[in-house]
Amino acid sequence: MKMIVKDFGILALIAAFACGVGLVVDRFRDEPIGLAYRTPAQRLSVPVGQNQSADLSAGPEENVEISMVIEIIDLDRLGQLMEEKRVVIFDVRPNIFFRMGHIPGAHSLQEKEFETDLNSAKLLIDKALEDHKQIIIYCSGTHCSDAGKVAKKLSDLGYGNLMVFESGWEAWQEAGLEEEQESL
Amino acid sequence: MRSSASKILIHWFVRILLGGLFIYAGAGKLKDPSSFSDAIASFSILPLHLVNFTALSLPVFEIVIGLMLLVPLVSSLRIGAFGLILLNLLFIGILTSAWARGIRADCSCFGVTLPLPPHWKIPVAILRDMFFLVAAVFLWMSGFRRSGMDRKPSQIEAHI
Repeated sequence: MKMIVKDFGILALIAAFACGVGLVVDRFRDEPIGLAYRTPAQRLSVPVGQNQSADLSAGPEENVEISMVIEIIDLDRLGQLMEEKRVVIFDVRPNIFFRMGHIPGAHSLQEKEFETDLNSAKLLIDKALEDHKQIIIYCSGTHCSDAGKVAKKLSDLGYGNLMVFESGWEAWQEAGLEEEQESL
Repeated sequence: MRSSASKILIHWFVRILLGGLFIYAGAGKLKDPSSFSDAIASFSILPLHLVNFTALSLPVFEIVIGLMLLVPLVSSLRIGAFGLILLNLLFIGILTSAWARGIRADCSCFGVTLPLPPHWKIPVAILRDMFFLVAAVFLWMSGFRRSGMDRKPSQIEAHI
């Protein structure tokens, strides 16, 4: 028993050491996360595209007015945009989940297979931007970071009109809205 | 003699497997703390102001514990295995609580998303952690025995 108490004390010291090392390592990161938690969408709330050049040669035409700020939207706003038919939606979850169910009309653009999937998605995105549509990106839910990652990658490629549907598939399902499935 | 050699082999196999896995898991989380903090937040079990603190310190703790299992010292094995038992009990408790609350989170434990239907992810993670727990208990008992706590002095001498 004495030994267990002693071992517990040593583990407490190791835990304290781990806290210190963890905090120090974070300070030396290129992008420290700090102590205040921010959701993936909140981390994107800094206008990502603003400090970039307006070179859109990789994507949309130059004469199209495009917002380079990644906007975070909720379910109501998504519904409104879908009603107005002003959106192209991308589901960035792994393909198996996309096939099990996704927002009607959404296309798969997996974060894990971004480079490959972008080849087929590029035409859709270019067409959407020509038609002044919004590009909506979503993943599984509020704490899923894949939608933000894909939005950032697209923004870095020069694409604009990007929106992240923050609460994602979870909120869509909870609202009991229509789902589209593909054969597994 | 052969049985003793195979016991040592199994002991070291479990030790290297668990130690390696926890070092790998810790390194993956340390590399991408944002994703790990999202995974912690998705369980809705910690106040948000503790999420990043946990995401930064837990991976270092896992790496240290993993390293302790690989160090060929009895006290290091005993303490490392004890740490693993506590960690796995904590993980199982958190996962069970999330499962009971109908949360379909991904624990992101090894820096990868399991290609499983959402409702299977947590039960599979609980089973995996139970396996780790059993292995950790095996190592801890082994370390405890070697510390001579459950042997009479004469038996220890005989063992030496």
